[in-house]
Amino acid sequence: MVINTITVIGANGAVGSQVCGLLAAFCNAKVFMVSRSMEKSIAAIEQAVKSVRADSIRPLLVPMTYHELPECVQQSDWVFESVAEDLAVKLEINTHIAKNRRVGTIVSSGTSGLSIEELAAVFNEEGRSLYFGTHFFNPPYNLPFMEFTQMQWSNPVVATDFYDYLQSVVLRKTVQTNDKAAFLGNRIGFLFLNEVAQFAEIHKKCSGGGGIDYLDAILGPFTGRSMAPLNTVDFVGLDIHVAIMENLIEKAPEFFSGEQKIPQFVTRLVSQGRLGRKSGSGLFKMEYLPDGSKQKMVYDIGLDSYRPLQKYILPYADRMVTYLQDGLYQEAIDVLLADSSDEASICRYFLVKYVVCSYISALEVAESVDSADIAMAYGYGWVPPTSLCFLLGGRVGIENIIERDIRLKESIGSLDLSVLDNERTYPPIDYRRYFKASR
Amino acid sequence: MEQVFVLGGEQSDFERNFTKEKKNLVSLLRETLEDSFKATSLDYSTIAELGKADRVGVFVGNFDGEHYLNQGHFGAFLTEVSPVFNGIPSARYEAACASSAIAIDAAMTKIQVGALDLAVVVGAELMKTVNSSVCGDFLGSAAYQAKEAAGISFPFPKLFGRLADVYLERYALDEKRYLDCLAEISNKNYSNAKHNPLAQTRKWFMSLEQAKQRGTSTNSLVGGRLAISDCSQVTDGAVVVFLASEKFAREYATKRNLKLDAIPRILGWGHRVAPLRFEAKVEEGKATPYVLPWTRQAVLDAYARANLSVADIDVFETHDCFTSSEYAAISAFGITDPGKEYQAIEQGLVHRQGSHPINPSGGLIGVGHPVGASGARMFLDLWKQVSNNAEGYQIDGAKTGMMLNIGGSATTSCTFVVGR
Repeated sequence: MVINTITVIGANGAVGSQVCGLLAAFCNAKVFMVSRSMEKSIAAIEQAVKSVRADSIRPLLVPMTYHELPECVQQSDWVFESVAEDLAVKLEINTHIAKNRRVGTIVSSGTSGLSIEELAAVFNEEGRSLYFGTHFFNPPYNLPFMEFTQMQWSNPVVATDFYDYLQSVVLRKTVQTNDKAAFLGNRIGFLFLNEVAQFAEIHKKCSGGGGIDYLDAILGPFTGRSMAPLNTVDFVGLDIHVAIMENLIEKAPEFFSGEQKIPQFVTRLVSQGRLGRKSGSGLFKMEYLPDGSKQKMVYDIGLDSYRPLQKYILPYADRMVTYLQDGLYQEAIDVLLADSSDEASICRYFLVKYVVCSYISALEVAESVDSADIAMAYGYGWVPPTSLCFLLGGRVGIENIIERDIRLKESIGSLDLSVLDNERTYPPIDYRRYFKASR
Repeated sequence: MEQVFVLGGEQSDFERNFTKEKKNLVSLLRETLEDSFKATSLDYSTIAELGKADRVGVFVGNFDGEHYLNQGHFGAFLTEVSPVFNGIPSARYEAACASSAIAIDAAMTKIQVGALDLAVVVGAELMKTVNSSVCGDFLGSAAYQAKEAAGISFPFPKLFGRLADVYLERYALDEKRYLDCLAEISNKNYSNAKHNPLAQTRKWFMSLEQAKQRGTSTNSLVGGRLAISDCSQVTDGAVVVFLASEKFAREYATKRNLKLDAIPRILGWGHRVAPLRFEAKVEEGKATPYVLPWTRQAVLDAYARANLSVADIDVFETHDCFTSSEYAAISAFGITDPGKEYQAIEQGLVHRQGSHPINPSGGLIGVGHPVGASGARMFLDLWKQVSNNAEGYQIDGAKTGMMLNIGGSATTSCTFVVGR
């Protein structure tokens, strides 16, 4: 596949600008960077260059505005839309693209969860056959995962070529996903994150603290992730979290059996503009002390105010960290399996649900269980679920954990766990790097 | 002398940052050893059995654990991985960036004289415990620290920048042509690393244009004419390789339904040490056609012992700590005459599809450079190539490979020829 010219619409966004850098670098293609104003597009060039650390791509980056969109689209082999996650806005942009694209031009959307079928509706038959979902994860240079969505009317030859191109040239770890809400990565990831937030609300008064930092202490980096779950939500943004969860709850309610609700404290913080790290406060905030030092504060759900982070005493976590430091992964998990504390029980609950949800989602939304590994490892930096399943003792081990846990029994006890018997098609991703030896 | 067979091994994923993962040396060694067991179908019981008869030894290459980890005595560390290593003779070998090649040399010698049946060669370095500036200071001790590195920021880029200066002057090279060749070396090694699943830079962007844009904000100059794109990386990593006597290799082959001929062996080797100070090297080299005559001699020694010449080598791995060192290696290998190295680069001879592919793994620039592990990594890559195990970057039909690992400013030069 030869792609010489690309238009990126929404090029001044955080993802848009970095995708411009990525495409100019790896595709060696001219990239029209389309934003609302020339100033924004010019500023976005700096972000693009910075993201791939390469001044050499500057000549390939062409700042443009929506006034020039028709000419940009006409000259392009691939048009990538990366505007706000709003169906009406995206449809309006697609209408412009449809009017101006030449026959043969590929168009794709970076949507993280809107329906590709609905987005493709404004194109004619030929245009629809070349319209795909290409969901980059943020930041794209560091997180190589991509969800690729094609429809039943997609041109199969072009779809295959484009998929291969994204893998071999753009260096994406790509999985094919069905056109379902939140696709695969965010379905698994946000289900997990939101339920952790729900548990934070339930356990808002525990061990001299409770709530957000309590759950993050229970499920810290030593459980197979680079960042604790609610810290991740704060980093992603509470508004994004709410938008993705609303979409999921509306469009995939059967998946959750009514379990999932957005916690009240999250909607409260969003309504107050406390969206997380990007707005200065959210689930956490930094407080500057009189001596000039910084102190990380956590939102106390019960008090509706911020307090210093609590240091929770979790012996199972300390023992796991000790084993992980020495590269003894199974031994670390065995500590978790044997521990009788409430916190270890909560930790097991989430790890088991993560595995089960990943297997079910992968088979429902994607091709195989390998897809879930790719999504979570390369898109989230979380331990690949099939490896975690193995460490937890496989299907038998997981069934034993469920049997001993009333919450798990109620939540997923009725599911057919033969899904866990599905084997990987490809060699496993090395899981070891995803367990950090830290709390 | 006994022949020395190479059973294989494995390297760690050089993309990993053990400091960020909060893991320690034991973790690095354990994981790499167990991956190497898996790759060779050996296991702890093999070590235990041979240990009872005092027929196995451990040879650990490491340069600077005292600085990076405040830890010496790496030779004893496998006892922390498993008690099967208790009682087994083990020691650390140090020769700056050639440390693990020297460990291989020591292991090979023990097998050659019949003292061991199996040698576990380890190369290991954890460098990301400090920032790049401090790391540069630590590496300065591979030179004559007091005279060449004291008070100098990033002394090694500057020393290899001097190598570039000397080349330009000695052979009256066109500066642009020479620097473009160095940029091509960088681009080649980054490109090759894209195919190596354990390379540190496998997801990084580099292009010929970017490598040529020295002095820009994303490719700043770090040592004379050399820029960031001319440099290898600060890397965490380890390598384990198993060497064996003919007796052990024969049993190993029989158990796996292999012919002994299918197992690669060390065909030749060289080890020479040049004057420690770079300017002393240059001065001495003036009397010869080579800027680095002892490096050339180490290559000739290996060819002579193998009874082979450059024409017989299918694949090369060399020490591209900087692009200027790979450039110099081209004539040291005998691919071109000294001063004519640009011909091999411009004609594509050293590319993966060329007649003399150099660093199909990605080399130090692409794979990464955990200094005490790089020699063993190159050696392992020779084994992978000649045993058809270099998945993703295999040179078709490779039967014989040559490696050059250097320590300091090309002070220690170690070479091996591995083949079937």
